[in-house]
Amino acid sequence: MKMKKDNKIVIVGLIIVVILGLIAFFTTRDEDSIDYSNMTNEEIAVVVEEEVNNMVKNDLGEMGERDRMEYYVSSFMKAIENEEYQEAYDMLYDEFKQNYFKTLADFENYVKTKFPSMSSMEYTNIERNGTVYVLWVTISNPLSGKDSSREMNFVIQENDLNDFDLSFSVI
Amino acid sequence: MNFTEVRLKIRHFLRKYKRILIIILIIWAIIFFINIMLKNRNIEPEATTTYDPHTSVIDSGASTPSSLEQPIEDLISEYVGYCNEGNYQKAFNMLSEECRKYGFNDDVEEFMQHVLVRMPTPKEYSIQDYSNIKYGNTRLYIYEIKYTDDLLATGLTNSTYTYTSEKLTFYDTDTGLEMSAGDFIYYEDVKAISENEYLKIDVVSKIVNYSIESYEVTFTNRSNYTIVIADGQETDEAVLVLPNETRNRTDLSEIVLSPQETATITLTFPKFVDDGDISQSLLFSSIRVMEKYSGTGDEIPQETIQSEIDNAIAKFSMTVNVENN
Repeated sequence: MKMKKDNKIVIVGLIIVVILGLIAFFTTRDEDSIDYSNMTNEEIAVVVEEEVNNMVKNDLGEMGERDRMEYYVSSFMKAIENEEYQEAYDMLYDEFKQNYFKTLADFENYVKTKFPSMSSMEYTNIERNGTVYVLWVTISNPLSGKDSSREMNFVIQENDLNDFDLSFSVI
Repeated sequence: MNFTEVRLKIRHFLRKYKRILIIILIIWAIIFFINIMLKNRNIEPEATTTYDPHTSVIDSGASTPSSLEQPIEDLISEYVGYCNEGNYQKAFNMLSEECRKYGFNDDVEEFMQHVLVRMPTPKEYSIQDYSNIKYGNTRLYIYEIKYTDDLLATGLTNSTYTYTSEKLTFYDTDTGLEMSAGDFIYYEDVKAISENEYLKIDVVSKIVNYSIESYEVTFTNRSNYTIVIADGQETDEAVLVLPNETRNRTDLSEIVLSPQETATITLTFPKFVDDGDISQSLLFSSIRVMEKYSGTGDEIPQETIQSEIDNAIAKFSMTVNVENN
């Protein structure tokens, strides 16, 4: 018995719908397939950190380059404010560390004496030279008034989203 | 219309358009599922920047062909490497024969001085395709190289943000990429002549740098009188003619020929190679064949100067076509 042409179209269409539906179902299931029940606390912490990092990367991916550079400087300053000196130290460019802060202790001593415990930042200018960005930043302590403000340069090279090397003008 | 009639009408409609409705439903379902899949697609976010080293700054629609990008980057890296090491001879040898000859007079010392002005100490560099132009059948890729200290290593401690720069030009040949430095772009044999009974003007050649054009011109005075081509007494005495304007020389020195004298002089005009204008001719608009010429120094009274001009044997202008056909 010959099938009508319209019926053939309908059957082929239905098969496509079923296939697409199955693909959509499985891809959606894969996305949510992280099973935390068999993980140790450390493993969960790693996964969560990775998730957070991915979220930050997604946010950074939607930003323009100027905003991203300002975010990196803010991250550095925030780490100092939170006394997470190792984290801030790790952001520094290796040769810069060799030149000015050979050890974490050197860096910690410096920022404790030179950086305000609480800082507000005003980004006055940014220039790109190839893959290197130079930022002009006015840093002040909001609790100490305008007299506390200090002009600084930050130099940043972005290797990838949320992966960067940084240096700053040491005084 | 009662309920039964409405029901019958709907039933009739569904029977009549059953296939079309099913097809619409299938299309909707396909779009729905494709949408879900696209939404779940794992797109890796990228760090977008405005830095595109191989797209021209002057004309964002023009780029270096991708096959030349890496060779150009390699040449620049090698060139800057040699300069940083102080190996000027090797850097000089990388330049095209034309550039060495007409840009630096085949003199490595001259080249070294050029480098030391820009790179007195070892420098980091960045590159940017500045403009792409055509000369004859050859496409020239002009890159701007910015030299800086290692900004990341110092964080600009005790220093300010400064850089030096130069234009490096590249063009492809059968034997590989050729490179020019020091803003030198190209050399051209012009060999254009204009002459009359008093004067022969022979434009021998021109050297095109990024922001200037220099013409080597031989003037031959065929008369037994002094011929004044330019001495500052008239306006626009020796100019470069462009389609919509003329340009005066950068150096307004006198061009005065004694009787039967032949002199070769370089005339230099400000002109950016990528401004879109084509140099058409050299115009000498106030040539004077002087019966008597006392010069134009401060010690010469203005009346004497004017009187000598008024009594000139002949006054005329001459144009020499320099357009590359």
